[in-house]
Amino acid sequence: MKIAVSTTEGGLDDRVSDVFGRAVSFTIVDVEDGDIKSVEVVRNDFAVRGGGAGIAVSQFLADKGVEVVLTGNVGPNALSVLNSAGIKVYRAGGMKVKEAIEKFLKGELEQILVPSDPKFGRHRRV
Amino acid sequence: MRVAVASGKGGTGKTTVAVNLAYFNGIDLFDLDVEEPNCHIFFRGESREEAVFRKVPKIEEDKCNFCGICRDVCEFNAIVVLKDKAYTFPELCHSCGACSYFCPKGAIVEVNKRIGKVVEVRSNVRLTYGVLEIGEAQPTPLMRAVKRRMGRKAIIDCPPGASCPLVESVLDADFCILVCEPTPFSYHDLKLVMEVMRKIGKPFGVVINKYGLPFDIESKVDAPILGRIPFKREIAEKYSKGELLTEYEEVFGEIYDRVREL
Repeated sequence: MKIAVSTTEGGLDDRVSDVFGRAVSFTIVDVEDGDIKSVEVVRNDFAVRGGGAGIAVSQFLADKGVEVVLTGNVGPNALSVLNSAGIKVYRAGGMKVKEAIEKFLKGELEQILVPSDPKFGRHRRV
Repeated sequence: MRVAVASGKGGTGKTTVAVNLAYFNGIDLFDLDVEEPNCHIFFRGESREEAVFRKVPKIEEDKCNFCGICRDVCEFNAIVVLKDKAYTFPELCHSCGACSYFCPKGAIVEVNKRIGKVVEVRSNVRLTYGVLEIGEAQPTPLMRAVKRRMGRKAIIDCPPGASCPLVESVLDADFCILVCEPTPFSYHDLKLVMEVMRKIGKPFGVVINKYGLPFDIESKVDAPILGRIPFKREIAEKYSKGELLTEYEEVFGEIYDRVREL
């Protein structure tokens, strides 16, 4: 199962960033039987686009076969695309990536079902 | 000729200059500040309205093979294509038509999205203006719809600022009047707009409103001065009641004469 985590530097020791569409990078972790098999960091080139960053990122993650997203907040357009693609989103802003994944696997994270305000992340990019 | 009235900074007197210029010289007036049109406050009369639409894509899923070409050609992230779903975000769409043009299956039709209306008022001046729908992000398609009704002679009231809406509003003008007031703020924004005018090669001149305020803008401006509207309480009072400046007919006649000479 592929889990995408919104991050800054990226990697298991980084922290989960508060924003989704305009996160600097995504750390994509492949988990099998509760064990981390691989870690890939992708820079988010959509973050600097004018509009629709969250939509483009969601599309990108869906194409990559991601099933779960861990982030701080997610906007309405992005959440609608993620939902349509069958990707579930969980709140983990500020946690260490590794810790967030462990908590998710134990079922301790809250699923995000309601989007935050549009443009929340526009000027944050953290 | 078509004369646009712009300023950069808001509140310097674009509308004051535009409405009086149109009235005292008997020229049709076009209010292209479609986000906040207000020339109509000066001219009441019989009005006619027409809705304006722009094209946005609609995907017919029974014809779509989810190839994703439409999404790839979209510059604005307005289309999402998943394994078995494809849909659009009309509010992000810029109506360029690339998606329907490139769709190999002919699965994208263009449908109308209402973006506002054009209103024509027959008063002592013929006024045409646009009203943008709340929530619509792009004023320029509606501005074009207003401009399509413009003849060879026109006074154009432009939106404030120095970006796309301003450029769209002066594009078809033969000359641009830049209205400023003697304040450092107005001077700052005037410089930006003058730079835009030079870049797009539009001839321009400057009208100083509230002339008499202590900041010396006149000697700083490297452009012909077309006229000066004095800083007077009675002018502010008339404007605040939505009245024309009948005592200053000469000033607006002279501004127009100066424009024609240049």
